[in-house]
Amino acid sequence: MLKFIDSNCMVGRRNICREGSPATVSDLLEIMDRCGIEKAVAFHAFAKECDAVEGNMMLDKENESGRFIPQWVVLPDICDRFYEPSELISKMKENSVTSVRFFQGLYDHSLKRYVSGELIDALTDCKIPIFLDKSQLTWDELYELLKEYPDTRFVLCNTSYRCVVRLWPILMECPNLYVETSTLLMHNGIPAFCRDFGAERLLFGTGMPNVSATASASLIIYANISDEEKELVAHGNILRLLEEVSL
Amino acid sequence: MIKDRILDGLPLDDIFVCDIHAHYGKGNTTFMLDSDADGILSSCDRLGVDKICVSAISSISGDYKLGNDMVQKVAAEYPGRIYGYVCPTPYYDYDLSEYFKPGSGIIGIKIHALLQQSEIKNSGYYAAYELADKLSLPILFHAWEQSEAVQATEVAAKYKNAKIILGHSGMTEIGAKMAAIEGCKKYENIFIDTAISATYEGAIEWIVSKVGADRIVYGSDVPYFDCRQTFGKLGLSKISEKDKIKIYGENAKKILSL
Repeated sequence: MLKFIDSNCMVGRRNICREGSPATVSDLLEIMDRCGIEKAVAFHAFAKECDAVEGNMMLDKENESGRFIPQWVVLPDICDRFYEPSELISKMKENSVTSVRFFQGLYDHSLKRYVSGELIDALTDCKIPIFLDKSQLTWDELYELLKEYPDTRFVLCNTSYRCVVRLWPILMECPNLYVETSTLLMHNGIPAFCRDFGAERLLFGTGMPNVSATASASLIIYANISDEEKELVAHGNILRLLEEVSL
Repeated sequence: MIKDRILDGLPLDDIFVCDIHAHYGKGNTTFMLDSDADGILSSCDRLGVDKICVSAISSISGDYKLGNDMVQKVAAEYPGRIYGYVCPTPYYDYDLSEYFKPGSGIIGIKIHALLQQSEIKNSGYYAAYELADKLSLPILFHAWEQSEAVQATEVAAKYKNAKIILGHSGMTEIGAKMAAIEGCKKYENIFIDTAISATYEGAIEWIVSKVGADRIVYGSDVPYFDCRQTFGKLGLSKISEKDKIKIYGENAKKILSL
């Protein structure tokens, strides 16, 4: 059975909890057990929806099992809204946080260098992967961001089954882009990605609790790629990225 | 157990699996990989899908006649494996009865009023509904939105011999789900399919708990979406083995008279 590490999970009570969807950490753990997910990189819903500082600190409470690898939602420090970059890195080290995520649309900030440059440079120096949500930026904005920070490792989540003609040219041009799989749902998209860009840039993710983990796992289990490629996508790539972080 | 076979990546070749909601060919709004018959059947083989029911993308968002003829052709080329839905249009006079010849592999009617910038209740579709009623055919509706599920339910009420499949509506937003549940409670000729792009874990369990497994059919929407994801979501869900078997194919066998 394929071992999975989920690279895209959210924990905590959220604003919209659809009928029948997982509501608690126990629900998430049961689903993880059901499809062979050992651990999940997870951020807190409160950090996305309300307050990044407080929400990030709430992660510990949800992680008694130790199966969640903490990820923080980050933003540029404007008017003491967040930590200064050096303080952030130090706090991440203190809390064993090895990846971050932007919700720049929700928090209404720019990722342009004049606003977020210092922050992104500090994260890049430590090889901390930055997770992006496709709902928060356009394809052209993504391209510009990747070109502006060529040494930064960006992981794109929440893509779409319609994205081939927009995503492929960016992947071709920008080797610093990695893609998470939960919504990469186009027919035979996984083998096409591996063929065109290599399995090393594809990270298994579930998108839980808003996307189905069993669907995401099945997409990889049944993909027409080699066993070696499956191992990389299912867990090898995310573990490698996180192991290379230097805090 | 089905779940063990899926976790091992094995095809479900020991049960009957019928994908009741699929497409064929190309369209301009979504670039699709491997959307020809060989590409689709290769994925079916990987999963153990025995039969697949397709409508042409061009039938619903291009030249309906050209698309219907394409489906007729592919169903004839893959007898017993690929079955076809033909689509009417509210904008031209049409006669779909010519497609329903014995052995043609054309098994039903597909309505995608949204892509035709119309509504299910448009009188331009009535001839298709009457034909379905007369021949006891399935009509697969694109019923993503609440209004679509409501209007498709009205078709079920009026054309009682037709078998109404509400595409997507058991998996989408709550308004469509509630309309689909109400419809299933009121009319025995309504069914719901599992086709969806990305939905949350628990969606299948929830809809089965509301209407029962007898009213749910497996549909993947391939090649818009990879059929692997919906297939695995059903097989790894928490519903019973018996219910999974019904949804994977036994219900479709009855609806399509296979």
